[in-house]
Parts: sequence; C-alpha cells; structure tokens
Amino acid sequence: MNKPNQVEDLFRKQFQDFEPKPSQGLWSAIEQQLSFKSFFKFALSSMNIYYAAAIVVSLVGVSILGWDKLQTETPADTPISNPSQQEIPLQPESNQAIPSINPNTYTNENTTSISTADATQAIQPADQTPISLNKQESTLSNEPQNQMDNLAVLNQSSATTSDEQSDLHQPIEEASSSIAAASNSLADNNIDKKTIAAEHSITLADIPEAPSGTGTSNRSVPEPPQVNLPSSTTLPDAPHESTNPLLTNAIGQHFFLSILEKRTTNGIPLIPYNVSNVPARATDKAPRLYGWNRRYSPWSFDLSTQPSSYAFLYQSDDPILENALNIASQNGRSFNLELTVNYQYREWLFQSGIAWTGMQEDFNFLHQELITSTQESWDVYAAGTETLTDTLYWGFVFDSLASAYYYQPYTADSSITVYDSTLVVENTTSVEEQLYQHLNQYHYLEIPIHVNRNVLNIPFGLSHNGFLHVSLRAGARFGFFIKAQGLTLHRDPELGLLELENPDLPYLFSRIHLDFGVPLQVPMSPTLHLLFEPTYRMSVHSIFGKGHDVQVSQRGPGLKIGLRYFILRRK
Amino acid sequence: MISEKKLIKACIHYDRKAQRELYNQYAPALLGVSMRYTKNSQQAEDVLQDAFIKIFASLKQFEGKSSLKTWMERIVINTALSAYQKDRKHAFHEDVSTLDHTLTDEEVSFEVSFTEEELLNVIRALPEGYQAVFNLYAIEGYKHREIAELLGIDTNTSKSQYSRARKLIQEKLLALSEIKSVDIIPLYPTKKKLS
Repeated sequence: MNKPNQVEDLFRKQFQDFEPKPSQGLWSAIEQQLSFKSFFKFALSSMNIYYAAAIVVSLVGVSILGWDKLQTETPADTPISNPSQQEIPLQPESNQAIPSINPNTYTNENTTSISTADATQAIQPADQTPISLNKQESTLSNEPQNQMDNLAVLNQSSATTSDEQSDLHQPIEEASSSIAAASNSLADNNIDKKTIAAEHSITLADIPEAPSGTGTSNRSVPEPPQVNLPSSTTLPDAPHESTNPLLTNAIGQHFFLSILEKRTTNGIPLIPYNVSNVPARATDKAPRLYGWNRRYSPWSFDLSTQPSSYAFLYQSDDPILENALNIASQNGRSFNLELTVNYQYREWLFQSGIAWTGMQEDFNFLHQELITSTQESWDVYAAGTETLTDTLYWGFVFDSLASAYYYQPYTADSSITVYDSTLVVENTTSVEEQLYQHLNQYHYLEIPIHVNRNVLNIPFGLSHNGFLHVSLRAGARFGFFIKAQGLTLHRDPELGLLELENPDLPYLFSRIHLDFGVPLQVPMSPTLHLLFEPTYRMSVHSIFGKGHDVQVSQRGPGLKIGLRYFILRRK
Repeated sequence: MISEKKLIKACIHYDRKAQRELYNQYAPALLGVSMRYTKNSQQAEDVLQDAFIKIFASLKQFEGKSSLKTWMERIVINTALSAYQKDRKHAFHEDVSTLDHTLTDEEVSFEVSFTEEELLNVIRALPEGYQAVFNLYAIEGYKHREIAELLGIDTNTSKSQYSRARKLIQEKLLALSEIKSVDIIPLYPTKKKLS
C-alpha cells in the first residue's frame, strides 16, 4: 500500500542515527587550522606561549638593533656627496686639530743637568700635586687638545726639575690660559719652544698632567680628547667605544631564557614543564621531527632571519695565507632573510635554499691619547752630544673587501740624548690621532647548504605537548654580491686632509663555513614551529674581485629567528 | 564526564582538549549530515572540517535556544550549501528537462529494507540542486520558502525540484528493490549426474 510520506519517512528514519566514523587525519587538519587561526587572533584571555614568544622575538630584535644603534653612529649619516677621491683641506679654525707634534723635536735645556737622585726628588712632589684628573679634563675639554697635550710632553722634564714647586697650587685656569696662549703662538708662528716657554713663563704648575711614578710603570691614561671636524661633516663625538656584541646578544638571550624560566617554573599552570632526556619519537602530537612519521612529509620549509651580527675577521690578501694574518674587530649590522627547504632522513636534516643578506660594515676610529710611561736619567761621564731616536709603531693593517685600512693606536718613541756629562733616556709612548671611517655595504644572495644532526629532544609541556628540539648543524654557503658599495673617509692627521674614497668592490665570492648552530624548535602547532637558533660561524671566504682575497672570519654569536613549516601528509 | 556548558565554555577559551572532546562527541553525527549534502566522503570531510572551524569560532554566539547538536547541524548544512553554491558557478549543469521523461508519477511502496549506504548513494546520485532541496525538505523539515531563501532560488523552483527529486528517488529505490528481491542464481549450473 502506498503512503504519501513513505519516501520521506524512509530517509528520515534511516538517517536519524547515521553516524559514520570520520577519518583519523580529520582532527589533525582541524587542529592545524585552529592553531593557525588562534595564533593570529590576539586576545588577552588566551594569552599563551605564542604571544610570549612573539614578544620575546620582538624584544630580541629591537634590543639587537637598538643596542647597535645606540653604540654606533652610522657613518651613513655623514653627508658626503663626493664619490670620487679627493682631498678636502681643513679650515684653519682655532678649534680644529692641528698636525701632531713630535715631542722629541722640542728639547729643553733644563733636562741636561740632573742626577738620578734629583730627578727622583723632583718627580715625587709632582705625583702629589693636588690636581684632580676630573678637573684637568674639564679644563682641557675647552682647549685645542693637540697643542696642550704636546706641550704637556714638552714640559715634563722642565716640570720635574723646576724649583718652583709652589706653582703647583696655582689655579688650573691660569695654567690653561698660559698654555692656550702658548699653543696659539706655536700654531700660528711655529716658533721654538724655548721662546714660548720664555714668553709665557710656563712652569711646572702650568702643566695639568704631571708625570707620576718612576721606572717602567705606566700612568693612567687620560680620556681621549675631542677632535673637531668641519661642521659639514658629522662624525662620532667620541672614540668608538667597544660595542660588545656578546653583551648585546646576551641581553636578548638572557631575556628570552628568563621569560622562559619564569613561565615554566613559576608561571602559568597551563604550561607544565618537565625536562627529561628521551629519545625522539613520532606521535600524532609530535610531528615529523627526527623520526619517521607517516603522517608527515619529510619535507618542510624554514623562513628565518638573523637581524644582526658581529664579526671578527682574520684575513689576508694572500690566497695562500703566507702573510701574517691581520686581525680586526668589525662592527657589522646585517639583515638576513633565508628561505630554506628541508629534507629529513631519520636523525639528519638536510637544508638548502636561498638567502639574501644586506650587510653594513662600519669602522670608526677617532683616537688621540698621550701617555708618558717612563722617564729616567742618570749621570754619565762622557763628553759631547748625541741623540738617537727610534720610533716603533704598533698597530694593524686591515684590508677589507674594498680597500686597505691601517690603524696605529700606539707609537713608542725612544730617544737617547747625551748632553755633556748627563745621559737622559726617555721612553715616551704616545698615540697619534687617527681618524678613519670605513663603510661597506653589501647585498648578496647565497645558497646555503646545511646538514643538521639531532642531538636532543626535550619534552616541553606546551598546550600542544610539543618538544624542544636541539640539533647541531654545519654547512657551506656559496653566492655572489648583487650590490656592493664602499665608502671610506680618512683624515690624515699630518696633513690635515680629509680623503674620500669610493672603491670598487668585488662581486663574486664563495665561502665555506662551519656553523655552530643550535636550532631550538618550539612547536606552535603540529605543523608550525618557532625557530630560535643561537649561531656561531667560522668561515673561510674566497673572494674574487680585482684580485683574489682569502678571508678567515668568525661571526657571532648571533640569534637566528624563524618559522619552520612541516607539511602534513593527509591520508 | 564534562557537562555540555562547561565544554562550550572551555571551547570558547580555545581549550584544545575541550575542542577535541566536542569533536569526538559530535563529529560522527555531523559527518552523517555532511555526507548527505556532498557527492563523496572526501567532500563530506572537507565540509565538516570547515564547519568545525566555524563552530569553534562562533560558539560564543550559541544562545542555547536549540540543542547544540541542532545548532551545529545547521552550520554543517550551511557550510555544505555554501560549498555547493560556490561550485555551482563552475559545475556542469544537467539539463533537467532531459530527466522529465524518465520520471514516474505513481507512488510506490517498498517491500525490502535499504541500508544507509544504499540510501546515501541514491541521494548522491541526484543532481546537486535536487539533492540539497530533497535533504532540506524531506529530512531536515525546512519549508520551501526557507529552502528558496537558503539556495537563492524561487519557491516554485524549490517545489518543482523537490517533486522531481522525489520521483527520481522512487525510481532508483524501485530499481534497487527489484535487484535485491531477485533470487540468487548460481553462476554455474550444477552438473546433472548421468543416469
């Protein structure tokens, strides 16, 4: 018998309890999508490790970049618009540095008749001179420094032999004005020191920096004075203070670790922390990480960046490294973006891809010091006059990818002077002014090839029950410069010239490096992991430009930050 | 066992365990709904996946006027219809007029029973528009006006499509029942013994 609703009833009844079983991979796919959505959906109520990680990443990046910025004033700020080599004479203003003066060219008759005992007596009160270093500095800072410092050297011996020790207590301003006048006379007329001393009556008390100690002990080093350059050129105000990248990176790393520690020990109960060394295992929770899991493809992708780096270079022009290696510490800021394809086989992860790096190397040296180390004299029984002078420079030469660089922070002058019956031996250490600014900018593409070996998996009780994966990696990089520019500003202290160079830079390089990276993976979802990789790199570069340079360098420590995406293989 | 209210609350706060629990509880039933609106199991799972994402995203809006299962079923149906409408722009349309001459006007009854899989195959064999209309009207209990709104068609179109779908289903069920009622014939006749 026919019923009007028989078909409807049939279907309705039959499908009422129809509950087929979904496939196993369906929840994983949903979870993956949920993780992705929840990650990008910010809500205070759901503050989790991802946001903490994002904040850490941001802070580390900002701290690295910010620290660099604070420590280094980029020479790129220098408004230099002349790309060709040229010489720019300095303006003859009174506040500009003048060529340094060799103290040995100015001798003082007062040094010729003194015995060792007299010298000791003369030196001793000078050490007790109640002139504080701070006051000296405050007075000195307003005066032409070169002249003052040189005059300080010139007058050391006269200071120590002067009987007018009461002058030690004269106001420092008075001494400074005398020295300033003397300096102007010296600068303008280039007259003999004797005349200056006679005209300005410079005595022991006029010397703000009295030598201290005897024998070979060194004095404390005064603060390097300022050198004023033409107003059109912006240069660092002070000598380049050491930028400690270890500290820079340590700040970020410490911050990260402290946050991690807080969250895992005292922090949110949702994140139980349990460290134990267990072998890698692949489960539904732990995706394909150093273990076979059929749910995941062996392929994954990394997108990573290393915001800044620091390098020490040992390099030579000589491809067979016959020359002594030169050492330079180099401030470098770089931004690196790397897309890597990963293939995993058991405990090994093979990586290759492409990397773009924008790098800027800075060299800023503005240095001027004057140190008197020793002064000894004793009687000899000889007649006649003889002067022997020898100068030793200590420093290093740095040949960057672009052009040669030299830096001589130390100059030792030794002189032996025989006056009638007294031998005076002076050992004077001085550091001449050298200003050198060097700026290289590179943009290059590389093909990195890395091999990673898994060493440790730490169960990490995140909401995804993930693991903290640690591996070591090594590899090589090959590439070429797509853009390379060099800019060099050099001020010759003798001639008072500014030289600007825009050298040609090489365009092809290959590099074999050993990367000591420890990539830490923090799972955000089964397929998406955060990468934190403290890196330290030893490299041998082979650079083809005008010639062939070989460069050995170490770079780091740095912190690489990125994302690793695992491909889910759906059934 | 966690209560439904607590489960919903935990899901709203992105508690992955709770979400998994909700999934485990309702996924089979919802997959059953999804399978009726799609052509194969893969499509059904895709629809269910999208539906669950929507469910978790909009759980806050669940007011409890209907049961949670009903609310989720509606989301699954809407998701399936959206997917259908998206595909409809590109899909090949079977000419409905060519089907007319095959339809029977008489009501039929079935002596045999059908399995869920058989009925599912019958529904899935319908043209997509018919499939949706039949599901919505016959099984979910929607009215033609509501179906017309949902599918963006005219009410009369809904009625006529339902009518044709129903007839198609009857024919298919008849054919199926005939097959099922036929005695099993041995493939090879037994040899008679020679006397």
